[in-house]
Amino acid sequence: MDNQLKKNSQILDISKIVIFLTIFVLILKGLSPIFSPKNNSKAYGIRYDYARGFYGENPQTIDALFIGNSDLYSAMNPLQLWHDYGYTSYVCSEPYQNVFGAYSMLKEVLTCQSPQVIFMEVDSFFSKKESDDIDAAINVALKSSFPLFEYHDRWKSLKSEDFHQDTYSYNTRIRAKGYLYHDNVEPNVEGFSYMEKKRNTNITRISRMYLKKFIQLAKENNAEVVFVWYPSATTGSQGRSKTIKELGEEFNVPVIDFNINTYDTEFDWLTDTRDGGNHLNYNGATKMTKYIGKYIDDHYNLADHRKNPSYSQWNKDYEEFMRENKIAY
Amino acid sequence: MAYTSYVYLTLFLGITFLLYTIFPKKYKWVVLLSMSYLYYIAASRLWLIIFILMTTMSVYFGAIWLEKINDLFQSVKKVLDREQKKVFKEKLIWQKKMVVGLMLFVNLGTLAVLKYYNFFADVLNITLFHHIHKSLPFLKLFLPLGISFYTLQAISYVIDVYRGKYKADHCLARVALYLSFFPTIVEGPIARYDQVAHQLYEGHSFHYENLTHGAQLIVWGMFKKIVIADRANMLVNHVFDDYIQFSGLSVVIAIVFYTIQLYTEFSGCMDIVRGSAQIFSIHLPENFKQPFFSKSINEFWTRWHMTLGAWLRDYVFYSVSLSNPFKKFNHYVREHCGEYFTKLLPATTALLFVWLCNGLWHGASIKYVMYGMYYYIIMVIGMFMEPIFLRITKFLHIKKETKYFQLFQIVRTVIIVNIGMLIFRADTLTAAWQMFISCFHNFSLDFSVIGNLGLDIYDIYVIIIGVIIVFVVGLLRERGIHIRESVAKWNIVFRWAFYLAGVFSVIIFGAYGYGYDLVSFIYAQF
Repeated sequence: MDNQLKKNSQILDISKIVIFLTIFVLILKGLSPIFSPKNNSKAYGIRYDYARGFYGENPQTIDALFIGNSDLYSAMNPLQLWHDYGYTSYVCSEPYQNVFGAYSMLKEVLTCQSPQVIFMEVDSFFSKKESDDIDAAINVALKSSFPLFEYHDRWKSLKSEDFHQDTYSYNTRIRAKGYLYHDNVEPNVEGFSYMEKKRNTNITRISRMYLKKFIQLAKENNAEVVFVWYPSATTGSQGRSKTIKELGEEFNVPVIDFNINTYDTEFDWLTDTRDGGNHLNYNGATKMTKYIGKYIDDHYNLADHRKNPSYSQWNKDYEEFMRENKIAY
Repeated sequence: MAYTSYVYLTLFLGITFLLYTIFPKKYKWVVLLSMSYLYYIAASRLWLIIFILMTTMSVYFGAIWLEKINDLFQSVKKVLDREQKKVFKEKLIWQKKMVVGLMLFVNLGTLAVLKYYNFFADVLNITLFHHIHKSLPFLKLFLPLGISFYTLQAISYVIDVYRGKYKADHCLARVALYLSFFPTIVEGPIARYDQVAHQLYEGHSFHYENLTHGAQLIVWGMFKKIVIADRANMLVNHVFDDYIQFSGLSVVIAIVFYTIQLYTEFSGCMDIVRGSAQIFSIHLPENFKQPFFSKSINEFWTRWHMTLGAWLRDYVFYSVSLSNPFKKFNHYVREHCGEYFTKLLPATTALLFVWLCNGLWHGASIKYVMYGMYYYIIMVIGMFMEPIFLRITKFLHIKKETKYFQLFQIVRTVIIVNIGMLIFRADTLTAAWQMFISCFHNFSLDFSVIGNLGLDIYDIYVIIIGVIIVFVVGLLRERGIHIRESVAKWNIVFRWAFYLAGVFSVIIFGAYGYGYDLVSFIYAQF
């Protein structure tokens, strides 16, 4: 009798826990749309608006996608790629973006775009601790399932329209397509000597798992993946380049590693970096983009949209970008 | 793997709880021990585990050795005459002292080398070797996770066995678990063997109340850490990192905010730690008891970081007081000084060691030594001046029992503690002194300056409301009202609404994610 009572009491307790957690999840689900920005612009509180300008492009018009961390938005200029080859591309890069963030970003992009080739920046693949990466993966998963975790701080700027579901309009365009222009020069006088440094080459199991998921997701959406590593004096090393090469072979993904091969881009650490080797400047980005354009031209069959009237806005964006930054064109 | 991380709160704690619930009662300790070591490896470096293993093995065998010596005396004392017994006992006491000395040498020696070598090398280079044009090299040393905490626990265990407080534990797993239990390994509390070891080792069945109360304590700790402390951290860093630019009320606000930050962070961490243990039906000692309701510095230190204070009292103050040289000193004072000094000199001398250890424990730098000395000097002044204070209060007809006088005492203590916090937080003693002086420059009660200290007005509101909540909860506890127990009696609708409001206040108002820095626990570095 006692045992039965105890069992019933335990069932009741467990039921209470389950009901409580269900209510908790329902509230999370209910609050998330309220806190989510109603437009993909900075004014509405979206994180890294420049990385999310793809929402504002016409649906299914981005042919090449670039995903990665801050190295990428300093090194890849989609408007130059447009001007040189007529390929439409977007740079979805955020500071400190990791593999989990890249996966989440790809899922976001695929809601409105269908890129044929995806360049994945490998700079942030490396980390020391599995537990840190698991934490980062949970963090990204929670933010993607319940945007309240990402946008909780918007309580400071909530307006009445935030409580209406029909006010979403993700239509803000970003002229530079995710590229961040910097023309200052702060040379890295030690050049490529950083490649001799001993740096952690570990890629955690959870990172590999998400990398696999990323490639799988790209394949399911008929996109090919390319690993790219732009010159990075603060993170590059021979050991890491070797690991990336092996990773490319393992996943059957081509690798472009500017740290071990400058591919005749005439890249120069004395003129092409804006902060002593961490990020590239406009000079560096121009050289990198030139090579990437040629690479796409050689390996993929992307359409040249320059003469297509429905893409005329890209021409205007290019001209505006050059004018705004006082670059001759 | 910080206690506030997703991986700890959801995955690690969740899996550990599930395994603990599933495992048979007899083997539940296996789950706690394995998960504690897994936590250690995940939060630290694999090879650093060797240090905690070394401490565990040394005190385990050391305590058994001490017990063997005791047993030897018990077994032979019946066959010895009085004189032989005395001689033999003295010999055994000496042997026991040697064993304890060896334990202290191994464990404190490791701590001293890893934590203090560079500090002492620096001090010796400046003071001694400078004159002979030689210097000790600085070493790149790794500090094993939690060494300052588990070493103190290990020492307390050995000394307690030496003192005969309890017998040596012959179960290695229990000693290992006592020293490595994952919630306590990073920041304590510095629990005693007899408080927790048996609780940890014996299995506890699923207990709904403990699970829910533990979870509530974790949420409360998260509120203090994520909502208040991490937000205050932004203002504190803004001013302390560039203190030259600030003066007057701005500096005062920064000092007060640091006190708020440190208290809410450390006590919040302790709530998370105690909550984590409680979900396994393990009750850890409290480390904070509303310290800002203290009427004196003495009282403050019995309410702030209580387990460290108690440890220093039991193993430094008593050890010094009961040592032979100190007994001789005591005797000398009694012979040569008057009643006033006989009463105060021995106590204040023993306290000097306590506060030196307190300062040094917090960090290997002169700043922390001075932090300890600051409190020591205030306490000593208080003790020596007590008769004068008594006369003054009598002369002014001040009734000590009145609420106003008690409020004055509390405010006085809070001010003294805030100055202590300034020493604790400032990068150097010089910076602390300059900031202290700058409090009096351009001082005016123009609270609009708060808008220029790195936080927006909404963040300031959150901190103020958060501090009011913490204050009210503290006040209720002072009056013997415990929120968790009181809320548990509410109707389920209100009760759950209250809990959900608590959880969502952490999620919504927490200072985490974009725009906020990830703030490590301050005491984790000690």
